[in-house]
Amino acid sequence: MKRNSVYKIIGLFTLVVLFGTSCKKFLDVNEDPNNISAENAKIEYNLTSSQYTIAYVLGNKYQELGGFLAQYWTQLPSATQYYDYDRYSFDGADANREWAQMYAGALRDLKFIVEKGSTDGDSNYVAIAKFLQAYTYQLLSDVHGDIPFSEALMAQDGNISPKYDAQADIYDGCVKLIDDGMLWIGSENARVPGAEDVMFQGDMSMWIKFANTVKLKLAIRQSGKRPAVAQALLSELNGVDFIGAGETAAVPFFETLGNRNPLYASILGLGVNNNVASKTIGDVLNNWQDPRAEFMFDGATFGAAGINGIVQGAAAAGGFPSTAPRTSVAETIIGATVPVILISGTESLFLQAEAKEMMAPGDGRAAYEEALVESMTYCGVDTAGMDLLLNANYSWDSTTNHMALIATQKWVALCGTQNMEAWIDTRRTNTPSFTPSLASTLATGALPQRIPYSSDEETANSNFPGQESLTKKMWWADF
Amino acid sequence: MKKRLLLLLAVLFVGLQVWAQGTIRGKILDDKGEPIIGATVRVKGTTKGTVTDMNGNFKLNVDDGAVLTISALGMKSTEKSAQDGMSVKLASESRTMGEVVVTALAVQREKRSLGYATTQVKGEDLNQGQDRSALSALAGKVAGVNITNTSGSPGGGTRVVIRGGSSIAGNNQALIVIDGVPYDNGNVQNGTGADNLNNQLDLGNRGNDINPEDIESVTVLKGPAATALYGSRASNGAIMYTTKKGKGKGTGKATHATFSSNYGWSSLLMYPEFQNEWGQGYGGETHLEENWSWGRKFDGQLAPWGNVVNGVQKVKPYTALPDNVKDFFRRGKTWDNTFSLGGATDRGSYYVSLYNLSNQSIVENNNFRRTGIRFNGTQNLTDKLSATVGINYSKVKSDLFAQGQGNNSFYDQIYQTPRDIPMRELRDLNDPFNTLEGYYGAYTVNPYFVLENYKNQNNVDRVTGNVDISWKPVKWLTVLNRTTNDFYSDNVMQYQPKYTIDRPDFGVHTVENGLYSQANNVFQELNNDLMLSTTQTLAKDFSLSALLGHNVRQNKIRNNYGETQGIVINEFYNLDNTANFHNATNSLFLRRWVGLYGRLEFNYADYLYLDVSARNDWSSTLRHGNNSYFYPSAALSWVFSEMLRKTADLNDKILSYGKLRLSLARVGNDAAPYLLYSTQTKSALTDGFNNSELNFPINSNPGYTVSNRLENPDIQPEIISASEIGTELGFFEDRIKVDFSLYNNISRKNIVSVNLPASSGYTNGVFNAGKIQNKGLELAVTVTPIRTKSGFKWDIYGTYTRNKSKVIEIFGDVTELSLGGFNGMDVMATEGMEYGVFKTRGMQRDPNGNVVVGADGMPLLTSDAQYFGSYNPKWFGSLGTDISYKGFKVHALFFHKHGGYFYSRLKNIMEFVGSASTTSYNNREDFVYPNSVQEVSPGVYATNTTEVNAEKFWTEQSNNEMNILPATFTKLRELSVSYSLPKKWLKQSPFGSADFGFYGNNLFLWVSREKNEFGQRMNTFSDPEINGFGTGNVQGIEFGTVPSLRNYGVTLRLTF
Repeated sequence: MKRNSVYKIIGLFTLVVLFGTSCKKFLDVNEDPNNISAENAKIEYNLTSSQYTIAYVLGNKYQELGGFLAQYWTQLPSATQYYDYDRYSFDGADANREWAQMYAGALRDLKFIVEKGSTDGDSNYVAIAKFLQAYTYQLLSDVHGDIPFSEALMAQDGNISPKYDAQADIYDGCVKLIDDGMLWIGSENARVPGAEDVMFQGDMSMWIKFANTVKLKLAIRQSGKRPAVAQALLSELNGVDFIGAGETAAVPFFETLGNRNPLYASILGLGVNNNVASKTIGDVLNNWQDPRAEFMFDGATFGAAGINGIVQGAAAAGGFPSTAPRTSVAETIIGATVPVILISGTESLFLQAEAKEMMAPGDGRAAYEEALVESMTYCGVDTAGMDLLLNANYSWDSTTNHMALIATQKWVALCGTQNMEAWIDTRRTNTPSFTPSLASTLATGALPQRIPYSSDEETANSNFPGQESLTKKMWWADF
Repeated sequence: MKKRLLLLLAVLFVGLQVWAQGTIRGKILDDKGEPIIGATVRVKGTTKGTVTDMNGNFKLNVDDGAVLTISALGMKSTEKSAQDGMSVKLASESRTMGEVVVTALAVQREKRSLGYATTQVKGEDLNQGQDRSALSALAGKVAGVNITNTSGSPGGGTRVVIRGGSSIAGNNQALIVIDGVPYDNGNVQNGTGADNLNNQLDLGNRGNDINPEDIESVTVLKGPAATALYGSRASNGAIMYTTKKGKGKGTGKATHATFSSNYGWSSLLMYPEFQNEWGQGYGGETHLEENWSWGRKFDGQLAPWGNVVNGVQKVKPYTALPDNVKDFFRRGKTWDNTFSLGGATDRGSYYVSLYNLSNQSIVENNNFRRTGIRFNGTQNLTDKLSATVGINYSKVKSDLFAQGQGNNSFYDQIYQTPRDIPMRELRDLNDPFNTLEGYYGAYTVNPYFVLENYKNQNNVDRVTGNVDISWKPVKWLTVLNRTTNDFYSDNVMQYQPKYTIDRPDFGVHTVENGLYSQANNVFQELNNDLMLSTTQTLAKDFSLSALLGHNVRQNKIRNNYGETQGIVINEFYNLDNTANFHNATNSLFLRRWVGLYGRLEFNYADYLYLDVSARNDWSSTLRHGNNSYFYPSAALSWVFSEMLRKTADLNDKILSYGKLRLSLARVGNDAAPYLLYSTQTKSALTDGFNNSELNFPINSNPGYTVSNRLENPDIQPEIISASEIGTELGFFEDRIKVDFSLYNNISRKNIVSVNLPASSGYTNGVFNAGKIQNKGLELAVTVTPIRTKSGFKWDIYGTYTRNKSKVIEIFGDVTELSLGGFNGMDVMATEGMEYGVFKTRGMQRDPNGNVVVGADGMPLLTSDAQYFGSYNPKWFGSLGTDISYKGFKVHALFFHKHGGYFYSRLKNIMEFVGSASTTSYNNREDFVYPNSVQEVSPGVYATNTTEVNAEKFWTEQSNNEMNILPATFTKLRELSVSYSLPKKWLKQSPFGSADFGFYGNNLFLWVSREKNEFGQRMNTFSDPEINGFGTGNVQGIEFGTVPSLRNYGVTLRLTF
């Protein structure tokens, strides 16, 4: 072997090296084949995802929490799953999953729809996304209080620690989202969503009603705290359409495994329905022989007096016989194909009744009665049953305190279908006035006014304001 | 880049000379007649010289009458006059001196030249305890190597961490290399992951596919300096296995055959302590549907038990059955055979082995089988060209039982069985009392039903291999091209039946829809290394070796997962057998690297060595501009005993060997693939409960969501810096040998996935942030108190390792990071603390450390989670002894880990159901929590006198602090006795040698005797080593985990 060959070897090596390293293409394999790239994403998919995510949280954890806190449901005496709910023993870790699903899931996707929809001229999608943002932010704020809003969802811009906005500012912001959204509707050339809009299948007139009803809810909720603001909003809403009788803003679920109503799926997973009727709602329904009782609870488990209500928290307080008679929640409420309701006709009509009564006492009657009829219809009650209640037990003339009547009847009507909304509203109206759970760990007489923030937020957000006392009232209830 | 290349090339040419005199050939042998590789042959009084090749041959141009100085490591130097065809035998010197070890890239080097710590263990020493994991068998044999066996299931996981690991959230396990083939050590999961407590399997790690009988030797490279040429992948050290090659060159016998066989038994190493005073029920009363043991005291009277079936109820004496849990287990059996053939000639060598291990586990229907074939061959094609080929096929087939708390985990259930339930009587599933609805427990499923009907299967087929072509175009240059491949498919199948249980009397209506799932994972790694190497004598006593290499590497992982949620025809397991949708996912991860590396080794007079190496990598997972990273290292070895021998008159009777090591190194590491860009993932919603998942598409509508991981296009490589100082000493002709190291590793710009507040739009993001330090010392000592001429030899050896990790930084304001765990119990990396600390809510304490109880006498929990120590031991060590006389050999090895903690779910659940011995505290009468106080006014504490009901205390305290137990333990890791039949007895037989013996591993366990506030020994529950979360960074959590085993048996080894 001569020096010549040596050069050849060195040359060959150099060639290999240069080939290997200069070949950029060889290393250009870092595009994720397992997910859709941001460029190929379609806002249709995000719309479906965000609607189902909101429904998943609202219809599962929030439905369960609301059921206990609005004293519709209490813990089955032979099990322990929801002891903490009846003990008012919440910690931040309980909120982690839903907080993440709402912010990093639903709200992040709605933001994406707004951004991409604006660029691509999909203005109807933008409008829908803004309406759902308003709905979701209000819901989260009504559960937790002050929450990130103005600086939320800005990690891509470098802000990974959003500040917490005051509830009043969030309410103003939500109103603005709805007003903004309205401006995006109407462009003739813009396409309209189809089946991917699982709530209204692209029916923009329904979305306008939805948005108006959310705005109405925003107005009514702050009417005690900021009457002037509420009045102004109500006058803006004068003459518009709301979600009405026979209409619901709801997300559907299906019999297929994995497509079932989340509360049903979750309870099915445990094999035991741990929810039984609370004496608080049970007594009301029994006293007035309300025919909706059999829709809300399982008639097969009724006793002679109707619902076998268990005093709220009795099982969790201990010493309660595990074999005591109890009444289960009906399959019409926790069933595989039961939709999750964001806003019902009933709720909307009660809101309208309250608004009208607020503007001019006495004017609320018609909407109130319509709301009752709507609720009964939804629960499958026949006309005879309706008449009985409207004319006797629940009649407008049975009291002079019509605001309290509306509040009480709204609480009864939302049982099992909109538990969280019911709990939120009872914290505002203090009607009915609840006796705290027997198992309460709070000071005597105190009721929880909020759910603690996610503990993940506590550790990861340097602008986290600290946990509030569980008994501190919401801004809109504090007057 | 080009400049760097030129520089390296220039260095290569330094000292290049060409000779033109007459050539002689010769061969250098050791005192046993085996050729010596790398012996130095030098013409006396000149700088002329060469080294011997693989066969001990050398060629040298010399003048007539020249005298050659011949030296080799571990051999006494000699001088001989040059003569063609000469054959020189060297006498051996200190054993330590001549040791040759395998270093990075499978380059064999003299240990004394290395400036960093390495330890070599011979195959026969590795296998003394017949541990059938080639990883686990290292435990206690190498200082600095922390080995943890995650469970006792055959083929279960083994975690190997050297010097504490370098990464906060990434891989911390050592690289495994077999004959130059990087060998994947993945910890494959079923479709749902290691942290799914409802469906948890210990499928082991792929490093355990190695057949321990194939191993000739293993070298552990402990720090980045040792592994710098491998680059980032070996930043956690490397374990280099060398498999057997054909031997017997020149013996005239073409083939050597070996047959070795083990037959062994296994049993549970540690049972928890049970109470045997109270039976089934609660509130001090009998409840025959319960799994609680909070019932009446045993009275020995006949009493009914179980369900009423067809109007009949069984009776039995109401007494404790102390062994009812033990009765569930059987004796495990393992039979393991290896047959190998090998031979060598001047032209080459070959080695073929066939291997089979079959195991029946300690419970029915659970088996493990591992089969393997290996071929190693070398052929000298011409005198310049040779090829080495290694191929290994291995197959693992196992039926495993699940752990955790899912329906499929019987293990979780059996410890919850009331103390008086006769386990064996539940066995016959056709017995009407043992059917799903006839079974006594209303809230539990017959564990034998689980064992019979829930199945988990794992099938692995793996082919690894290498082709090395070595070419010596000129005598001073070797060109080596090595192509390696590691390919396996790893399939996990899960079978779960569908059934319904109705027990309306207890409000139970359980619907199981059944499940079939299949996870098919395909792994492939290809490597090509092209290396040029040379050794040059630059001047008298001064030589240089240089290596220049180029590496191309590709790693591809494909995962396909299919699952039917709910099956239609029961017990027919096919992905098609579903009325619902198929949950199917697939993913592909592809990564590529290109590397360029070089090493220069300066050798002065065979006692001072300086190694300088450098590598540059280009990675596909980082952005252009960030994806090239360079890292250098340097290591100094000073064999001062050799220097003293040469320069002064060292008395080598006292100091036979002395060496000082010093090294500095830096390695870079890239990111995981696909982190740079934003993506959208398929939506998946769950509330954490089984079956609660919402799966898209829903009614044909797909749902996609912006990924929860914030993209980061600017990720840079992480950097690990290491420094090390050490010494190796031999005294009294190596009767005392000491190896000591101190090291300090700091890993910076760690690529860490940090939790973000969801309100930012993302729940996590990947940043260059973390910083973690590991400091420690390692000591290994061997003493030979007796070594007689008659052949009696007694060795005592021990290792001691102390590693202190410290998390210095996580990311900005973020000071802690959860590595995993389960709800309410996290294993954390927290700034300022040791790595791997437990975090959970604990008991409130007053300033004196007394537990604060509430008005009901129950301990109050802190509102925030607290830290409770790390899973890492403070130190660990081993002590072993070998005694041999003629053919007899006795070996024992004790292993001890000191400090650290583990979480025991067994304690939690056994105290809850009242089966643990700890629940007999105070005879189950009301008691005052020991040394507790009550807060009478804010900050004012008074001694507590409120008694708490015992059942209420044990069943309602939800306090994880009480379940964190000291992890200190000592194990008799290995004990063996063997005998080799004297050769003369075998003269008439076909056998060359015959050895037989008894062995045991994990024979005895002694756990910490530390007591808690109740005066009870804390760990009466389990082996602290087991961990339900696989071999990743979450360690120290026993959660219904398969218990560890004691193994013992007989072994036979014959050669032909």
